[in-house]
Amino acid sequence: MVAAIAAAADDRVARGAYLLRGGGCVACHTDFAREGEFLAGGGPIKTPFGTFYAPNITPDPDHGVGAWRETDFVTAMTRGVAPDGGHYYPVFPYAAYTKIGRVDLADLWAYLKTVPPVARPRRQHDLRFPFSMRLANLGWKWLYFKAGPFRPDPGRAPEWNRGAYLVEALGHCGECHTPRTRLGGLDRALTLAGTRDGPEESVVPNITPDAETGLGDWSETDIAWLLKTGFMPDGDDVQEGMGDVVEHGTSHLADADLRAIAVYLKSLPPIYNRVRKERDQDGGADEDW
Amino acid sequence: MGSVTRYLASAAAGAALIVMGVSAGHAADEAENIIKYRQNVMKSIGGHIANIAAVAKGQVTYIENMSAHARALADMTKLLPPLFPEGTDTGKTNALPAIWTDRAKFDAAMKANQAAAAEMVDAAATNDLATIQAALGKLGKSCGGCHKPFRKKKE
Repeated sequence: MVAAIAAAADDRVARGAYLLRGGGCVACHTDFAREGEFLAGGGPIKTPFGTFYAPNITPDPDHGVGAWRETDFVTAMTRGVAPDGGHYYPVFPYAAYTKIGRVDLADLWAYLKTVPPVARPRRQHDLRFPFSMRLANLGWKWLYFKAGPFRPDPGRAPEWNRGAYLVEALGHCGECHTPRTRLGGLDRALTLAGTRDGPEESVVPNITPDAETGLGDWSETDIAWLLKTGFMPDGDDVQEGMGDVVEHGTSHLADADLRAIAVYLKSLPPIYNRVRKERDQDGGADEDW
Repeated sequence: MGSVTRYLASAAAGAALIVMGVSAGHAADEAENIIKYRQNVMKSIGGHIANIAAVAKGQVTYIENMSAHARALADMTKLLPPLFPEGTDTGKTNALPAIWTDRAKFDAAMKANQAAAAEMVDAAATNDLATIQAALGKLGKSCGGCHKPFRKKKE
């Protein structure tokens, strides 16, 4: 009986470790560029609103989440509220995480508690006014945040619904791939259609199946393959932030989940939105090589 | 100074300027040609990787060709280091100046890429898809070793 309980607990921790990869938590909360410890706080994330630093989420009692209870974690993830009652900046993607199921949240928490604690103080964000006022987040939430779990579409296959959950809830793809309004809300009319104002001043591609400006000529296999290996169909490796997402996140996921993501993305309404510059015809540098 | 001397001096200066201009033009042409050459090497590597991937993804079944692709791309990775001489950081290139300010790191990343390509050759010889996929994953990471710090962002 005790052994069975222990086995079940191990199982939850293993599921939590998997979900952490699917949630893309590792790339932001670990400062790989400076060889920082696992989940002990991330490197700078430059955005049009200022520079953010993802905090230490190891179970260190002073600098991490060691003093948190499970309800604190669930509240942070689903309502964007810290244990001290403050409102998080939406760079912490709780607008997507609010859709994560309660069992998955419990498993994530079970895993986080097993990570080696690291006593690394968190670094303060460096933001432009008025975004520097944390209270502004309350206004942002009022405008843009809707709490509540993911609702599967009963008219769709389980694989599609799994993909929708991975893209919209856990993987929070739209946080980078959907353009934002001037107040930092997602521009829903252009969901996943890409933006030239991505993090780190990057150009984030259109991943709707639009033939001309999106992933129209990518097969489901091509999409799953990129998420698994980081290689695009032309043999080039994926760039910048997405390289980190693949390395520390999606390359750890099961093939079935990667396929589900691809199935969901290919089912979206194509949106014409050109974010990449047109390529040079004469084989110059704009050809990406 | 007599007018003849003055004339000769200015003619000499003019000639010197022309020579300098021509050689500067030559240098720019040369850099441009090297940039084109190395981009074609990069493209050929990408082509071989795309074809290995097409087999690994199950889109085509030419598994008997894996070794030829792997050997070709491994050879190409060995050509790369001398294709980044000083002065080839301007014009139509995505190479960042950091290549020449942090050359040791750049060379180390190239070495790691060559090692990963050599592993790809071994993996290809097994004709085992899972082994090939694993080697390709490592190879991709090694491409990022240069592309992340030393290549311009895509626009």
